[in-house]
Amino acid sequence: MRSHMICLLAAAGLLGAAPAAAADAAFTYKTSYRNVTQDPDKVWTGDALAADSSGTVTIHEYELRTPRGDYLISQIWNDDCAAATCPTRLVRVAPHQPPAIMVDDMMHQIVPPDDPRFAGLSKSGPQAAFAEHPFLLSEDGKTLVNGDFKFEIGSGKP
Amino acid sequence: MSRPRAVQSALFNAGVVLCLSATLALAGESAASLTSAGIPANCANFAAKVSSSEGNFGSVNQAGCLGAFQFCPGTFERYYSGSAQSFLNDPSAQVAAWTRYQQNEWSKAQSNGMTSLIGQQVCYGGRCATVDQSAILMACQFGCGPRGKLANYAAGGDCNARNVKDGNGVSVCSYLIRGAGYDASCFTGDQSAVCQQSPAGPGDFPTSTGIAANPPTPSTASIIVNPTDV
Repeated sequence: MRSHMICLLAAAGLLGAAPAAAADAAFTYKTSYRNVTQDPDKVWTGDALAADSSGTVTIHEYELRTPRGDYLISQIWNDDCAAATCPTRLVRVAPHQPPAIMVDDMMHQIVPPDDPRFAGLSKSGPQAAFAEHPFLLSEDGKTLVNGDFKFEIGSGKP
Repeated sequence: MSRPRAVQSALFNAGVVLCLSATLALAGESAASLTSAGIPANCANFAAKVSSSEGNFGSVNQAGCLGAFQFCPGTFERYYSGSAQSFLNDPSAQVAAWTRYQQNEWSKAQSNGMTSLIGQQVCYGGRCATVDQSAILMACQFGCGPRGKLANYAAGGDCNARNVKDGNGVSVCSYLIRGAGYDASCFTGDQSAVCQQSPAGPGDFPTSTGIAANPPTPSTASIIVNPTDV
């Protein structure tokens, strides 16, 4: 949303940050739930699922499997969204257990992979990279990277 | 200079140029161009202030956010039904969508209690401002929902708290200060919040009451001041 994001990403791409980023693990797109009143994966509950002023709530999910465990990113498009960001949670998932929230903050809105309205836009390298992998887990597993945003894992709800 | 150092230097220079280019490209739309696209003249300075940190009508940033006010995909989905490219090609549509967005954000700010901040002084980073309507709307870029950064600030009052900062460590208070002092009545519908100064000269009197609201006709006036005379 802000111009410094452009600069940081451009500089990172050109000045050798790529080798470090290459060690980061990228979350891959899992699914989207549109027009929901309940979250099938139970990351969001209560008021977060109340219909927004446009009358709809959408949830987008990304996933990552690592030796340390399996993670899910869930971003909800509801009335809490800002112009550029929406409430997003990183949760650790395990069979037969409720999702454990590791990060809960406002993160850059993702570009829905199936949105045809963006299909005609030509994308630069960084734009294409963000669209495909908007969330990265740092190599040491301690930081969630979302474009120019960074979140310490384990910080929980702010 | 060794080859690796030469490559590194070339990459550095390219990075600097790209950064500068990006900065120049994202200087934002002027008040005049925004007025041409449909923003009322009295709110054009506020719109230009917002656009200055966003982009131009044809801008797309790395996160896929579009236009002079950088509508990101989720917001874009709510406020425009056409394609991304048609939105980029249509300044009037951008201004119309942003006007509706600002009006909705103001409604959220009111219903979520954020307007209680109006009149309070906020200081951050060595600067202070009195919170007004335009400050609230600017800070709504951090979200005006009940669980957003501005709500967190309204609840805690600490500009340095982690929960009032974005993922870059930028505090919502910096946006409250940045946005203060502008006419945002086109979005809030509240003319009374604009220019609350005491009349001090002939041009400072309100135009809604008294003689300013009932001006004499040119044929009866003793002095006629044309727009070009001001």
